[in-house]
Amino acid sequence: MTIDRTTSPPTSVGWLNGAGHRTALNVFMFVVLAHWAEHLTQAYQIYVLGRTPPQSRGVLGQFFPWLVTSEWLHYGYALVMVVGLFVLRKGFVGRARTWWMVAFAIQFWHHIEHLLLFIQAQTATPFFGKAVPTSIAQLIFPRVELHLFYNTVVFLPMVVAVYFHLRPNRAELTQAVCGCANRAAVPVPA
Amino acid sequence: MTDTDGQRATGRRVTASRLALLAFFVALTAVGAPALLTAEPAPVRLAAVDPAADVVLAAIPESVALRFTGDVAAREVHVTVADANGVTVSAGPPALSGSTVTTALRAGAPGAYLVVYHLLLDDGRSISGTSRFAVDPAAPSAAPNTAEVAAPLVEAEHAHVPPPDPLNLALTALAAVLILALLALLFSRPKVRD
Repeated sequence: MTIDRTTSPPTSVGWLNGAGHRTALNVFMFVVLAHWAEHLTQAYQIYVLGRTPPQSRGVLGQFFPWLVTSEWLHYGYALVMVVGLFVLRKGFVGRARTWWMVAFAIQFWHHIEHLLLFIQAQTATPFFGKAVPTSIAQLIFPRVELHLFYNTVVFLPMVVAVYFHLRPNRAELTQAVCGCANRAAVPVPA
Repeated sequence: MTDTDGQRATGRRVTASRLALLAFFVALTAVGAPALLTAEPAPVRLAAVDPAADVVLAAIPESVALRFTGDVAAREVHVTVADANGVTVSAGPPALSGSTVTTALRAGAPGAYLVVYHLLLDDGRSISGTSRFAVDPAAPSAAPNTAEVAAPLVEAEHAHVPPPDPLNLALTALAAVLILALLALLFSRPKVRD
């Protein structure tokens, strides 16, 4: 089966979701993986090395301890995530688009939670009658679990979306407007 | 450009992209390895105290010994031992030898005694705490101990890191699997399926 790629782009998208989608997605994945590397390093330091949480500052925190407790950092990452998921969404088609939007929806709420924490931290005004900045879900769950939970449930659909994006079926490849999928593997018309 | 040229160009881009990813992870490992492998200085905590906490002795000991965990590099060491009336029985400045602080005691009356210690470490951290013992002539045996012949120090502790929470462990494991899956996705791209 061959695909006529000259007729495939169904819609017009900007550079970010077209020719530049592969680069932008790689950069975005770099940020996501670097963030996870930090969290897994912290987990290793606590669970394997037996350090106390204040001593377990990941990689960046090893050199810049203030980063770990910075609400700017946490909110900044949440913001980067929600913006990245939003601006790169049009490059995804078919099943990949569905999973990507699921990740975006969850991250949007996660971002709202971080925004609440950020406002409380910056104004030194804890909400909900608490002594420290508290998000809505934190009223029920402790923070570490909450943060880890959100990051994981956002990451899961994101990975599925990337899977379908980089491994589209032929119908999805026909709709694709970016060069992320391995087009070299696609039979081309003679 | 022919199709073959196009495929070669695409292949070169894929190779360059994979090399860039590989370089990233090599760099990440190089930067992260010290954080993973370099042991941070162990926290200084009280490991044992002699006389043991809340022990009842027949006579006041000649000294009090405090043994600490970790690298005890202290710029200031303070130890005070006082009886129930607030009368200080510690004599002279405490001596730091290795990870053990020893303070000589004067003679004292039967009753309760409070040991208060404070160490200001070279890195700016401080550690302080208290321990208690009592003297009762009716207590069994008990030759007053000294730092040299003291009974084995009683381990006082310490597992400050809570056991890993099952949910946190599960989420971390799931994340690790997802990360490996994502890396596999980025490095390996099979042919398009129907």
